Amino acid sequence: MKYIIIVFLFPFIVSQTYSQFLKRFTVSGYVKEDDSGETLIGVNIYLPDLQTGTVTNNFGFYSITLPATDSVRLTFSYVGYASETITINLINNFELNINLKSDILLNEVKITADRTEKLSESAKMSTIKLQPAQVRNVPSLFGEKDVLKVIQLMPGVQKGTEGTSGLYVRGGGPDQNLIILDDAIVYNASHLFGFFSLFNGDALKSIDFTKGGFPARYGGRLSSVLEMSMKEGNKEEWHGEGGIGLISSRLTLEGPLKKNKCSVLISGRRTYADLILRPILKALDENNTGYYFYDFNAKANYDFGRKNKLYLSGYFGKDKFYIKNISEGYREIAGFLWGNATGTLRWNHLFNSKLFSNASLVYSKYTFGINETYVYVPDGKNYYAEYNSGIRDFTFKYDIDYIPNPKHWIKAGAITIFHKFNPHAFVEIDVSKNIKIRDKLSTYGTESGLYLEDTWQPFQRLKINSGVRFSYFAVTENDYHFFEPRISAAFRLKNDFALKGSYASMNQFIHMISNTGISLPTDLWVPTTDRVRPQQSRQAAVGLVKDIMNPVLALSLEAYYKKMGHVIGYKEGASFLNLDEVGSGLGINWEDNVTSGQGWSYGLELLVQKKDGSLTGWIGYTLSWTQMQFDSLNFGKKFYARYDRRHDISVVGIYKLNNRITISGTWVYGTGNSITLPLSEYTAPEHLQNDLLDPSFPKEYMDHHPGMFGRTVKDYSQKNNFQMRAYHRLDLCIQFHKEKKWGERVWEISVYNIYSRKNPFYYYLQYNVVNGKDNGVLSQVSLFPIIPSFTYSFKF
Amino acid sequence: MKSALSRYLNCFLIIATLSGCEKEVKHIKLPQFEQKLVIASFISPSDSVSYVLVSSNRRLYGELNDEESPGNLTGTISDGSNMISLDTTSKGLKFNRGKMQIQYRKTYTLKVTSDKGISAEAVCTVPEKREFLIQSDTSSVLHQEPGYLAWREFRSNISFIDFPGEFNYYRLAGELFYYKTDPETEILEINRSPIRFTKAYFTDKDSESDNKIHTSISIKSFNKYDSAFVKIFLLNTEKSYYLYHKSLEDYNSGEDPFSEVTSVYSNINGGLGIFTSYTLDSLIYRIK
Repeated sequence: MKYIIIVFLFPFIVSQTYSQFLKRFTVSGYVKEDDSGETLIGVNIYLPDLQTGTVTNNFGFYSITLPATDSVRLTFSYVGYASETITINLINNFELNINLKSDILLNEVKITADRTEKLSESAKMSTIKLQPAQVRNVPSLFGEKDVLKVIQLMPGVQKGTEGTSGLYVRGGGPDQNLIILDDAIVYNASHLFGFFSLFNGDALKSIDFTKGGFPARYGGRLSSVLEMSMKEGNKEEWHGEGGIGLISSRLTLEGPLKKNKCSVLISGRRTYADLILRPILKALDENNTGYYFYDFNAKANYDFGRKNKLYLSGYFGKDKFYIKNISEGYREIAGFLWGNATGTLRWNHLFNSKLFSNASLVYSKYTFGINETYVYVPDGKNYYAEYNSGIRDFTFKYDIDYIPNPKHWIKAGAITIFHKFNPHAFVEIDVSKNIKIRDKLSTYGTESGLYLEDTWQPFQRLKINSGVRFSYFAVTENDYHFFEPRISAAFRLKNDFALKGSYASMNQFIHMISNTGISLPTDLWVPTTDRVRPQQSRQAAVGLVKDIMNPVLALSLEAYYKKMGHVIGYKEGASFLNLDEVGSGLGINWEDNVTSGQGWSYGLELLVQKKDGSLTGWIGYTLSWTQMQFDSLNFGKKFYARYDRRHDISVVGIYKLNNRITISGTWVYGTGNSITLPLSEYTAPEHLQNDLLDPSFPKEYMDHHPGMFGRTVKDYSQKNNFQMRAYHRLDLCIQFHKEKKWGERVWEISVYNIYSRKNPFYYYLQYNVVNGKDNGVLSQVSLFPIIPSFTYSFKF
Repeated sequence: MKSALSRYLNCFLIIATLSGCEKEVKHIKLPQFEQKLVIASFISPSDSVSYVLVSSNRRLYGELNDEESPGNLTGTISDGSNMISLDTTSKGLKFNRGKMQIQYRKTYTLKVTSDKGISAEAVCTVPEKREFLIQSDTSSVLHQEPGYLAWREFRSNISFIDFPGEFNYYRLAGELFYYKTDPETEILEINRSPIRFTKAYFTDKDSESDNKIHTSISIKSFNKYDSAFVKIFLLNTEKSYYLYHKSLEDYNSGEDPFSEVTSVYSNINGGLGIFTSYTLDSLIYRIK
């Protein structure tokens, strides 16, 4: 009988088993840091039995759909954290949330990641992921940790002038970089004329930098995307960290308002450079002159449960330069200030285990202003002038992640930005001359984007990210719209060795115009208009990537070619502030001061990275050319860009000697910047200088000094015709860690430019007398010699 | 406002310089000096004598010479069919109407050679003869303030035709003549002063819907002359004339190391300077 039952049930059992085998179920969840509850971005989830995997998204969420199985292993790994391997029985959709332990908490010297995502497996190309810990360990100027300065150490990224934070990526200017902090666009991302960036590393969780092969979700800039996320705040208990340095001090507090549900993070930083500079400037007879900056980050989040999370974050920062001159006869107070403010409200919603969405409302503002008040004490009549410029954005964006199976990860979304531009707002009141002038120019523009992209794996060896973006910009009479195809692919030739390629078409609708060689807050942000077209670029890249397992190294060799169109710059002789007389502030039209042209950039980049072990770091080398051509500049002839540096080398090493001592060093080398050096000088006569009755010039010749009949000018021949001396320097840093009862403290001693290389900041012509004869001498000013610094940091 | 901004930037430069150091740049290949002829010549059919100012550029690095001599010069000018040699002067070369009359719409080639083995060449085309119908509409206001001399302000609105369908470049210049008879000697004194235009150079972009270019001038006159006249010159110039003078106007000497330097336009092959042409129209009117 039992045999009959078995025979009868056998087909049913077989069919059920077979049906189970055909069914697919989804494992999904969040990966967080163990003691803080902080979600982790980009955690690699690998299934060794199925040789497939995925990564967590920007909110720490992952999803992977697999065939039903009795037993499947998932390994979660992330640099700086101990890996976790979980075995599950996949017979239903499975929610699996993981908490990874930081290696620091485990007191492990070696940082190991069993299975971080290999470069050769990713379809991404021309991207760099930085850990905030790396930024903290790299030596820096005055001990001020700076995300942008670390990005400058990557191949393909040129520095601007000495010490500044500007990014010149693959031939693009500093306005061609999209800098995002929690979905908010940040304009002019630096303090103190570009010497320090405005991102407080203590508040950051992730830093992703893309310089090519742009996925379709990114748009609006030609050259790079720097996307940063702020920490959410510890959901378990209150913690803090801070530091006291030579230039500024900082403090960060984070903790739960409701344990495991709601947390908050507040971080602030303020410089006391004004106190340090005051005695120096007083020696220059500058009464009461000072400078300071401060910035403030805040974030709060509420976890409603698996399906809904809400985040509110903001940034506020300001720089001010001021002068006060007070004497018996007059009082003069003048100020030069600039700053950014951003606010982001985000809502994550999980529709189901395969469909995740994020909606963001964002406010972003950048302004700079100059003001001067002068009072002539005897009669009390005063003069007041104020100039302001800025940009303000209101943004709505919506993004979805749809992960139907391990072979596809579909992203789609929409973004709309309402821009308000104030290229200038001018007020001038002169009581003694009875003058009152008010002039304000405001322009509006709406920038929108729709995108669809898919990261898919047609077969084991090939991974492709392809997509399209529709970009749109509306101005007064015209609107502009473009389809931007994007593709990047990785083909694994062998295990751990892949060939990659990418193509991206990009458009940029807002521009920064600058007529100086350094990034200054006076640089203007202006929109595309009916007269000034959007900037455009087409970039193609190919590369080889090799992952080595022992030791863990990633090698990448890339070649790129980028063509840029409608690039804008100042016309020769133009300035944003052309006020020679009272009243001439009216009618300044920036469109009359700019011109457009084209650019070409191509080169080769080599990057060798070591991400784990006691010694980590990278070596980067770039060989590149960047040329520009403007009809209105250099008489229409092609010229090399100012930041065209043929060779660029960066060597960064961070060595963890033991639990208590970390030593790091950076050596950089770059071919000198290109400058325009005069070849000779001559006298250029003007027509109609003397005699107008008969305009033929001159009517009669007399012996005279040539200067009387003309203006002494310099012959430059070609723009950027001369290369400055090469730039190189070595920075070293040593950190002493010590565990205390209340937390941890770190003493850091660092030396910037340890062999005191006199790198050129700028050149100028000087005249001196040698043996009774005039001599022309080219002199250079160097900015930073050897600079030691001390920083005390703490965590509790 | 500009002084405040300059002060901040200068302060920043001072801080930067103080925290850095200066030194002579050595072990670097500086630009080699190449001597070139600097030519300035503005020719017109209305000129009885046309001058070609010739000088030399000067070195900037190493031992400097106060004056680099251009050497002994010879030159020719050709209209395509005729060529004449130029006469020398103390400051270059010249030719008069009798040797070659400059004509409208003709192209002229200038060649200058020095016995130092350097030479330069340039080409220009004289604009077409046109009637620009310069007009002026003048009003005056008397200013009187206690304790100050009374003065009169003459405001003239000037307009002229811009011919559509072609690229034109213009320059305005002017002079004020005033006459006064000395009551004691009864000698007539004539004084003249140039009129400064806020905007002196114009192109087709300045043309308004009536195909005219409009501008205005303001003249201050102290009421102590018998009569006064204004003479307005309208030069219809070649594009190179406009580019040269605009580049001189916009010239940035490069003293501020953080501003982009600008160059002065030149159309001289193998040299520097300008060889260009213009036609002339004028208007005289009495203001007092």
